[in-house]
Amino acid sequence: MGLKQHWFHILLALAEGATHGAEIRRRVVDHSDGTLKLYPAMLYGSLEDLQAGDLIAEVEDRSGRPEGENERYRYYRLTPAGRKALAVETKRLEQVTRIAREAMATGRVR
Amino acid sequence: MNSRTPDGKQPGERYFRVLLRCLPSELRSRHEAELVDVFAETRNELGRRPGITCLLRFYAGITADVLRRRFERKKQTRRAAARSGLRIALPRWLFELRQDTVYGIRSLTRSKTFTVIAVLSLALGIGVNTGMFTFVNTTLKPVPGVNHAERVVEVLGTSQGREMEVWAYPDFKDVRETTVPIELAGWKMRDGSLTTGQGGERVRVMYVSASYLHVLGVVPARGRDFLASEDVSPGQHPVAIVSHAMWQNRLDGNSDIIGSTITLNQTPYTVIGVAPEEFTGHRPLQAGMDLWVPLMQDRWVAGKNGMADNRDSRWLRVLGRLREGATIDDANAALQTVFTRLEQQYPESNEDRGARAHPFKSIQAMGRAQSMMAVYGLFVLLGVVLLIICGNVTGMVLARSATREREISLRLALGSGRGRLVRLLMVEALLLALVGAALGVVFAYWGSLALMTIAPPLPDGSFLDVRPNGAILGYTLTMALAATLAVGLIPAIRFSRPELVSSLKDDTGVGGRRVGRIHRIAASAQTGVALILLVLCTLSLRAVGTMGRRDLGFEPHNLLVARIDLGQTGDEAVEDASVFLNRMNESVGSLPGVDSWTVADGIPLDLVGNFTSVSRADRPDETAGRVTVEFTLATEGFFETVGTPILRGRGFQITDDATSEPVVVITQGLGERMWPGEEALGKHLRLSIRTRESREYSVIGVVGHVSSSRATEDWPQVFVPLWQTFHQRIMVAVRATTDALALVRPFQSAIMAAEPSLPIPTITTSESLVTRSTEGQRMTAQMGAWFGLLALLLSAIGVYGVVAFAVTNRTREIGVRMALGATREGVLRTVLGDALRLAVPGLVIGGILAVGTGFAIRSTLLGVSPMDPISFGIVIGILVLVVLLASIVPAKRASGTNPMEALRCE
Repeated sequence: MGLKQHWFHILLALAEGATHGAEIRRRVVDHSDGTLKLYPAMLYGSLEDLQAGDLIAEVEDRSGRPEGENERYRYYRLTPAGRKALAVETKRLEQVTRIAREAMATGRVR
Repeated sequence: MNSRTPDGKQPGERYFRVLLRCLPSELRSRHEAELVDVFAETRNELGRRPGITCLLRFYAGITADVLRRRFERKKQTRRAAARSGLRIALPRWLFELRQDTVYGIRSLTRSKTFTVIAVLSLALGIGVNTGMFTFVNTTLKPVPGVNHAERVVEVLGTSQGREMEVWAYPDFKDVRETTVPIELAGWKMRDGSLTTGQGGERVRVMYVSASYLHVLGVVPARGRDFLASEDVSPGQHPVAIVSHAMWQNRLDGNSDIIGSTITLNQTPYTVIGVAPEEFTGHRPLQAGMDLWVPLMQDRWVAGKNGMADNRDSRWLRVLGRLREGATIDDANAALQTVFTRLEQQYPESNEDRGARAHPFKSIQAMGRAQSMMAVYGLFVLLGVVLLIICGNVTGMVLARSATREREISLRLALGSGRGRLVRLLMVEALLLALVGAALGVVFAYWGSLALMTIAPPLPDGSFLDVRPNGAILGYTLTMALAATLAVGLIPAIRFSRPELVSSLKDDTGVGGRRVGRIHRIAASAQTGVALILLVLCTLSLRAVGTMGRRDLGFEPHNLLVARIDLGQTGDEAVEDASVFLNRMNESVGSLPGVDSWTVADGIPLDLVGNFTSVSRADRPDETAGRVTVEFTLATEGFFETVGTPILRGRGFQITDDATSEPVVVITQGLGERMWPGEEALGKHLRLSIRTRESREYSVIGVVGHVSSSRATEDWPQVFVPLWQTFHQRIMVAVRATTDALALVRPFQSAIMAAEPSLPIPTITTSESLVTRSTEGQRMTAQMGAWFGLLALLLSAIGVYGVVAFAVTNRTREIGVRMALGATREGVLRTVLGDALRLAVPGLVIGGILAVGTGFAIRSTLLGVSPMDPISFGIVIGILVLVVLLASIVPAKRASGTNPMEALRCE
């Protein structure tokens, strides 16, 4: 079974570069054409879960953060495992999409 | 980037912050600021003035989000916990309790012997208490059908301050006519004969004053109550109220019952009412009544020379209903005033006479008011039994805990709190008590069922309901909790503070805990109690055994008797009775297989017993020479039939009737007492039989020793002709030539042929009467056996607990001894010797008490010595054996100690 949808989107958002929760949320909204709006508890809960699953990690290094941003914001980045999970999931989605398209083309699925 | 309200807060932020409390604290503490920011951002996207549906959807969404996260989190942890075999989701205390329970069950199932013995003894203790409670609970229930029972009282007659229940009818009438604040009702029970298609049928009749049902608050379900005028003139108002059961079963249950006629004792009665179905009489522990009729309808009460005018004869039982506003004390004060006045009015009969009202309870209705005291006494006794059992189990728990001392020390050393330890030990005790209680309820139920089948005071048809109900289960549970405290608290306190260091460092256990003196004394005392009970049991059994070898003074073998109440025939006087007896002579006397037959008002050992006192005719005023004797009204052929040889003189003849000189036959013992060294034959005695005036009787015969009406008593006896002192309740006795049992049917038919209106008489063999006369001894033996067995079991458990504890504590000492050359046999002997020494004080004191008790009940022992060596020998032998058996298990364990192991590590 694949990743949960919101997990996939969080990983995808972090693939653009390390950032904090609110930014992740904005990126997810962009990536999903506004269809997936993560509520706060879901967002941070998922971040905890992903961190526990070692797919993302907290960035301790505070250099390179924009001026004036809340000091307490936690930054996250993809771990190698997270990157791999994202790749595997992407590939799986491609496959599923391809199979689904073929099925529709040949009329096996109505 | 955030647009804020003037107070710097986003609308709804406060709500969100509250909502966040639902989240696990880690998540909240790590991300709270960001969560709020994201919330604000999401909220902002809705715009400044969102539509109401939009807003609602937002808040619903945000709430659902937080709650979902919360429960998802819980599910995850639970799943994770399930994988690792733990359950952290329970509250901490509950979790620990669960742990303790599981641990307790494990540790209890590991030591099976301990658990089984502890549970069984607790079950016994709780069982007997629950059984007792069941009984009392039932007997204290209100009598069915009685309304406002709290105002109903039972009014007992008193004589010289002693309660004797019965009243004289004139007293009743006089008191009823005064203004005492009680409405009185008198009653008397008497079997009657109801004429049906099949002849006479025995019915239970209660003769009552007209106020009876009203006093009890019973309203007839059909028809009407008695009228006051129906209980005034003798025999003028033959009316009856029948019970619902009687109406349904014997009178066909027709709806036109009211106004119909039934025939009772040969007299037609009009049925005026039917009692409510639930009311079967005010004595629910006895068989239900069939019908109620006015007292004045009873010839014995209201006939010629009836009891209604007799101030001396006391036979009426009285109930009352307190009038509005009156208390029992008011009533008693008023009764006292009236009786004082009656005493002045009738000094010769009413001296020291009185009456006292008591609350009306079915248990008192059973018999005596004192039975309540007996019940409370029994309650206390059984409570003590439970306490002793708890003591025993405590002893066993202590013995067991001693072996767990190291475990407990280790727990304490590793930081287990005392509270936690106490709880663990209490949980174990609770488990024992609860399982014990559950079993106890079952025991109690079985026990009460068994009791109901053997207990003689409860006739059939009584309504003792012993099924467990809420009250009973509540009582049992309370007792289980009490037992838990009793059993668990002492070990828990003692062992939750062992001398921590010593117990860990010095593994010896030598000179450690000694068995508490209380436990030694308790175990010893139980042995003593068992001794007393078992001695009483064997003494009674031996007493029953002696009956067969005694000289009864008559021959019970092949003797049949039938009790007949001539009052039930409707015949009133001697003349009618003699007609009846003439017919009997034709039918019974001519039966094949009848050797002889006779009529009397009793035979030896029939448990009836009538007493009077006699004096020498030449010294009538000499009180010192008066002798209390038992009297029997007999007719011709009496001595031949019962098998009592006449030593001198003659027996009765048909000519000894009301017109001839009064005559008497006496026992030789009485003759020797009245006229020492002289011949009694031909002398004259003065005695009165059921009259105030005494008459002079001349002694015409002397017989040898004859058994009294009860086996436990031995009275001098006089025999008087029935025709000179007539009595309606008689016995017909028949001596069979060969097989008495074959004669039962023909005998019955012969009586019925002589008088068809009689209810079919019950025929008993004299031998069964003899057996019944030792019923008291049998009961003592049976009770002694049961309670003795219980005490024996308890003392065995007690001894086991003490010895096992001692052995456990002395393991190292025994190891040292064995290392130094003590043999296994030696160790075994020492331990068993200790056990015996433990029991000896109990046996000695119990023995002394047993002899004392034996002397106290000497009269019932029928000549067996209270110090009977055989009884004592047997019982002491059994007890010593049981003590040895109880200590053999721990003794074996002690002798099996491996000295090396005991010394090395213990």
